[in-house]
Amino acid sequence: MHLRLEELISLRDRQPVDAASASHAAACAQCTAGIRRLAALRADMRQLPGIAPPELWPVIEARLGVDSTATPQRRWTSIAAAGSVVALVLALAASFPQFQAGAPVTTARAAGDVPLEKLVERSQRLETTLRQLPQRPAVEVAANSVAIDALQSRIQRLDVELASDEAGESGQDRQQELWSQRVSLLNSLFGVRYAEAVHAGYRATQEEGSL
Amino acid sequence: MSTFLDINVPGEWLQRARASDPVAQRSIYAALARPVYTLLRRLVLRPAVAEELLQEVFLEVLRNLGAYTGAGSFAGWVRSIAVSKALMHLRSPWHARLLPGDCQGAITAHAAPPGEGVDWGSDLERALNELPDVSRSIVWLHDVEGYTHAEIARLYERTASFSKSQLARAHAALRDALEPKFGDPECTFASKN
Repeated sequence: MHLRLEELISLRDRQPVDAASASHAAACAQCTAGIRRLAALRADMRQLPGIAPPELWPVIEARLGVDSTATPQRRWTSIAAAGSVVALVLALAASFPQFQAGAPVTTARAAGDVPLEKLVERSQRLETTLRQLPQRPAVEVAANSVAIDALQSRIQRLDVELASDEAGESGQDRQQELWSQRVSLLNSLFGVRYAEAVHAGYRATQEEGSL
Repeated sequence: MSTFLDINVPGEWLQRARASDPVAQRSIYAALARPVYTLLRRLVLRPAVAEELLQEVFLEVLRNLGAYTGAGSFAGWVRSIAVSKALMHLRSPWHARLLPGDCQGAITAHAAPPGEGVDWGSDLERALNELPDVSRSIVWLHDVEGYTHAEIARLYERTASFSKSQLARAHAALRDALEPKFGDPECTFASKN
């Protein structure tokens, strides 16, 4: 009887196994080959290339500034969640002054760094992910609703502007800026919806006493 | 071994970042974003979720630099936060609701949905991607990140035997997926699992 996979892994990792298993492995070509293959597979996994993240620092930096006064723990309490959501919306409003009447248009910080096609693709991916989120809870937190409505409203206004310039007459830079803002808004919308879904789920499960 | 072990974040950066110096904060992010994101993608697969978790990890790290006591490497501390957040996501009711049909009582195997831009470049990556979440995360934490069975057991609030058993399951599934590539039909594991 050859060694079990768990024992082969233990031998690969130089972990203790019983004496009979150790002596079997030493004498069995098949088990020795199995240990070698496990080691090769581990080496292959370690050699897999790293994955470059998208440029998220501007978002993180903005959120750091927004939430710097919030207590780090107990993020899932409804008061903290509502507070941070409202702060996020206020910050977003401040970040996109073109939505304020009469305000001059400014360029988004990272708009020029990402190709337009990538921004469109990322926007589509975020929309796909948003559609997969569970429906909003029956009992909504008011601050969440305000934030979600505000974000959706801003996305709609962006879409109107994008639709009115399908020919791209406003120029590549403007298109890039609009799509960059759209990605940022969708990302924030996902963040709020995701936090809401997880919060609702945790609360429901805790009430059932099964988590 | 884990790429985190090769990353040395200067103490000066930490000191300045604790004082909310944006340059130091960005330097810490630049040094660690790629390994953190890679780890998150290996654990949760979905790019959109990994990106959200990446934000959450760095928000927690940069807000709580004072909690890093200097015991162990800073990169290791960041990694532990990333692992914790990824496993929290995998255990979340939201994730479970999204992915019904659990094969292990908690978490199910899945591939990232179409349209999320996942490009699994190798047979091994595809095979890893097909593993159930628990098996995939355990094989990655153990074989790549170097976590011990005892450490994994603590993360999952289970026993070391659970970790060993899941690791063996993962290797059995990887072997099955990669067998044609290895091409050695005479060598078979006699797993009792």
